[in-house]
Amino acid sequence: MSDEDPTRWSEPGGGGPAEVRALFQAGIGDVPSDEQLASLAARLGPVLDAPGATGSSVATGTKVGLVTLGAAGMGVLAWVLASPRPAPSPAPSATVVASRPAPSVEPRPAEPAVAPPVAASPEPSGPASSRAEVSPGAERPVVAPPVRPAETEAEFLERARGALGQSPSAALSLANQHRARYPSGVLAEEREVIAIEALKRLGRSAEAERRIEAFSRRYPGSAYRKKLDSGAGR
Amino acid sequence: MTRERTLEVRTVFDEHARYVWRALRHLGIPEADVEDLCQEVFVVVHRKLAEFEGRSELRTWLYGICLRVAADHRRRAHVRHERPHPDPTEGVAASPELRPDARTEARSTLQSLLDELDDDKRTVLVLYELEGLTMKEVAAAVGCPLQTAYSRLHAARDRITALIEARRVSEGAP
Repeated sequence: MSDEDPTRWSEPGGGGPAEVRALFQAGIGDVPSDEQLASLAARLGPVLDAPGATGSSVATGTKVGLVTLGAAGMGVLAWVLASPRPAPSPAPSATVVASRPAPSVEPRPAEPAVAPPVAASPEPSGPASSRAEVSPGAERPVVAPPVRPAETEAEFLERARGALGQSPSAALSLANQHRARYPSGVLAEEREVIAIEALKRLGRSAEAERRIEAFSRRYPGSAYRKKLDSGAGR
Repeated sequence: MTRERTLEVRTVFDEHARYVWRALRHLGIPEADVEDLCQEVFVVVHRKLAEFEGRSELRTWLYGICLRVAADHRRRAHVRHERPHPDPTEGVAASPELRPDARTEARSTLQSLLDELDDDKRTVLVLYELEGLTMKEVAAAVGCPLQTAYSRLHAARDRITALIEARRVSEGAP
C-alpha cells in the first residue's frame, strides 16, 4: 500500500461502519475449496500444461521458454500447433473413425461461433460415428480413441490437435464436432486454429483461407492472428 | 545478462487461481457460474501469457482479465434478464465477531451490498478492500486515472455506509 492509500476498512483503524470490518474479513476468506480448484484444474486440463504457453515477467527480457512455430514465433500457439504426436505404425484400416458426439456438459450460454464460410466438415453423417474419407497416401489412417463421457473441452481439442500429424481429416472432423459438442465452450479460437491447420495439411487451401478470414473477422484481437496471417503468406 | 523468470500457465494457476475465483465472486459472478468464468480467465491467460511482458504486476494483469471476463458475463446476463436483486441490507446488523457458521451469511450480505454499487465503484472497492491491490494497481487494472480510482473508492464507501445506516434505522438500532 502506498503512503497515499487510505487504511483499508478490513484493517484495524480502517474506519467505516463497525459491521463492515467483519463483512470484509469474511469476504477476504471466501476462497474456493481444494475440491473446487481441483475441478477447475481438471476442466482446464491440457491448457495448464501446454508446452510453450509461457511468458516472461520482465519487460525488457527476451521471451524464454517459448516454443516458436515458424517465423512468426507465436509461442502462445504451442498448445494448438505444437508438433503433433508421432504417427504410429500404419494401421490396417482404410477409414478414420472419429469420435462419437456426446452430450455437452457445458452449462454456459452459447458462444457466437465462427461459422465456416463453406461446408468444411469432411465427414458424412452417420448414426453412431463420423467417418472421414482418407485419400490414399495423403495421411496415415488411425482409429481415434474412444470418447470418454467426461472428456473436457480442453481434452477433446487436445485429441484433435494430436490427430493433426497422423490424420488431418480426423483432426478436422473433431474440430468441426467441437461446436456442437461444446456449444458454450471457451476454446473456439483454438478449435478454429486446429481446423485451419488441418485444412492446410489436407491441401484445401481455399477453404483454409476462407476460414482464416472468418476467424479474423470474429477475433480481430486474437493472439493467433499473426500466426495464421503469416501461414497464409500475408 | 537479463534477469528473467519464465511464467507458465500452471504456475500462474497454482499461485493465483483461488484469488481469481474470489475476485470473480466479489465482482458479482453467481456461485453457479464462477467456475466457468475462472476457466475463461485461464484460457485467456493461456492465449495471452506469451504477450505479458511484465510492465505491470502479474496480479494487476490477471485482475484486468477478470474484469473483462466478468463484464462480458454481466452483459450476457443482462441480455438474459437474469440480474438478481436481493435485499442489500438483510443481515447487516449482525455482530462483527462472526461465528464460523455465520460466515456464509456474512458473505451473502457482503455480496448483496456490493450488488448495490455500480460496476465502476464496485470494481475499485473490491480490488482495493478485498483483493489488497494498491490504489495505483487498481487504477492500472481498471484503466482509469489514479484520482478517478480514489473518487470511486470514496463514493463506494459512502454508498456502503449509507446502506448500513439505513439498515440500522429500519431496525431501530442506536
